[in-house]
Amino acid sequence: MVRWLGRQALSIISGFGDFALFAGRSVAASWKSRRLPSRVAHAIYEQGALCLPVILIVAIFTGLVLGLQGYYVLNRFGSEGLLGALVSLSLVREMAPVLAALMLVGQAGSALAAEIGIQRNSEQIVALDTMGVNSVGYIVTPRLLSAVVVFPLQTALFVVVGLWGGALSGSLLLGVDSGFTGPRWNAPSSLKTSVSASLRPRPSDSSPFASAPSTASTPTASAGRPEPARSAPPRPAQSFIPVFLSSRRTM
Amino acid sequence: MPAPTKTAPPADLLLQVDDLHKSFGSHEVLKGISLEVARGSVSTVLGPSGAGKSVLLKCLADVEQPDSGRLRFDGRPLDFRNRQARAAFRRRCSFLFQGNALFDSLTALQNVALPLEQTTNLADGEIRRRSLEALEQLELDHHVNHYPGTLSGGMQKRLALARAIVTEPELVFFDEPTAGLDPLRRNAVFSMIAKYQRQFSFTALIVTHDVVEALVASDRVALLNQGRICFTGTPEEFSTSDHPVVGAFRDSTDALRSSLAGIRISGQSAPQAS
Repeated sequence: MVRWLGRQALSIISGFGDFALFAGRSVAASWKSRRLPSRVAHAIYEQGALCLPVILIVAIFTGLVLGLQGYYVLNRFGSEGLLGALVSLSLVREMAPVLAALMLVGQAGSALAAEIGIQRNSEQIVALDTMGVNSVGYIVTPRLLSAVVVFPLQTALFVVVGLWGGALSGSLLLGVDSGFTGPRWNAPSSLKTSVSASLRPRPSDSSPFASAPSTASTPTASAGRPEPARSAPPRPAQSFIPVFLSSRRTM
Repeated sequence: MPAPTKTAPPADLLLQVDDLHKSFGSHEVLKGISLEVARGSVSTVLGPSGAGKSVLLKCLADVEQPDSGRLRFDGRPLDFRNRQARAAFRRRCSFLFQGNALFDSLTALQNVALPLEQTTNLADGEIRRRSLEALEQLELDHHVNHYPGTLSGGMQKRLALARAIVTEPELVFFDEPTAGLDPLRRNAVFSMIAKYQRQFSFTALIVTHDVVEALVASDRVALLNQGRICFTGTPEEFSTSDHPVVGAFRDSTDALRSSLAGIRISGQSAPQAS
C-alpha cells in the first residue's frame, strides 16, 4: 500500500516535472524559431477567429440566463435594481474567464490535440526533427504565444457580449432601467408580459425565497410584471454600465 | 557496404557504421551492425520484417539514439551528443519516410519550402524559386498549390522526395519507399529514386524487403537478419551467393511456388483417396 502510494506520488510529481520542462522548452524555443510572427498570426486566427462563434453563442446565452434568473430572485426582495450588479460582477469575476477558457479548450484545444496526434502518427513530427527543425518551436510555441494574446481578448469579448445578453433580458424584456439615455429599442409589451408571466412564482414553488414572509416581493410578484406597471414607486435602479465600471475599479 | 570497386580509396566512403547496438528494454534489435556506404551510390539494406531495418535507418538518421557503436560521416567521427555536429549532419542528410510524412495543412509548395524556411536564412524569393525548381524537376509544377491529400500516391512520393532534396543533401535515407504499393508502382518508385539519384548526385541508402526491385536499382546490397548483417555485396554477388539466409530470401518465390505445387498435388490426390 505504502509502495503503491509512493509510486503514485512519484508519478504525479514526475508528470508535473515533465509538464514544466515541456512548457519551459516551448518558451525557450521562441528565441530559436524562425518565421515565428507568421505562425503566431495563423495560430491567433485558429484560436481567435475560429472559436469566435462558440464564444459569442455561449456568452449571449450566459448573459440572458443570468439576467432572467437574477431578476427572478432579486424581484422577490424588491431588489431588481441590483440586477446589473449581479450580472456584471458574476460575469467579470467568475463566469467569463472560466467559460471562455472552457470554450477555448474545448474548441481550439481539442483541434490542436487531434492535429498533433495525427502529426505524431504520420511521423510528421519526426520528419521535422530529421529536417533539423525544432518540432516544439514549430508546433507548440506559436500556439502558446497566441494563447497569451487570445485568451484575455476572448474573455473580454465574453464579458461584453454576456453583459449585452444580460441587458437584453433585464432591460428590454423585464424593464429594469439600463441607465442608457439615448434612443432604445423596446420589446413589444406582449413579449414582456409573457416573459414576466413565465417568471412569476407558482403556488407550488417550494424554494426558500418563495416562502420568505418578510419581503415585499410577494404582492409585487403576484401583481405580475413588467415593473413599470407597479403602483409602488420603483427603487432607484443600478444600471449595467456604471456597475460594470465600478466593479472593474473594485476588483 | 564497401565502395563499388574494391580499389576505391577510403575517402569515397560517405558513411561508415561500426559495431552499432540498439535495444528496446531487454530486446536487442541491432547486434553489432557494421556497414559502409559509398559516396554517390544507391545502397540497399534488405531483410525480412522485424529484422531491424527501420531501426537501423533511424539510428543512422539520428531519429533513434543507438546504445553503442561508432559512426563516421564524410571521414569524420559523428557524435550526436554534440549539438553543432548533429545540426551539421542534419543539414547534409534527408529522410524519406514510409508514409511520406507530408503536412496535410500545407500546399505542395509550402511543404517543399518548409525545410528552407526553417533551417536557412534565405530570402522569401529565393526559397520560392528553389522550391518551384524542385517541384518542376519532379514534374509537380502543375500541382504547386494542391494539398497532399489531393495528390495520388506516386505524386505524394515525388513530393516527399522534392522536400527531401530541396536542401541539396548529400545523403538521403529511404525507409520502405515501396511499402504497400503494387508491383507497377514499386517499379516506378525505384526507377524514380535511381533517376533522381543520378540527376541530383546524392547518395541513397534504402531499406526495403522488395528483393527484385532492389537488386535492379541498387549498386550495393546488404542483408540484415535477426539484428546482424549477414551479407554485403553487389546485386550480382547477392544473386549467386550460397549463404543460406540469402538463398532463402532470394529464392522465396521459388519456395512459394514449390509450396503451392505441393498443396495443389495434395488437393488433387485428396478426392481420389476418398
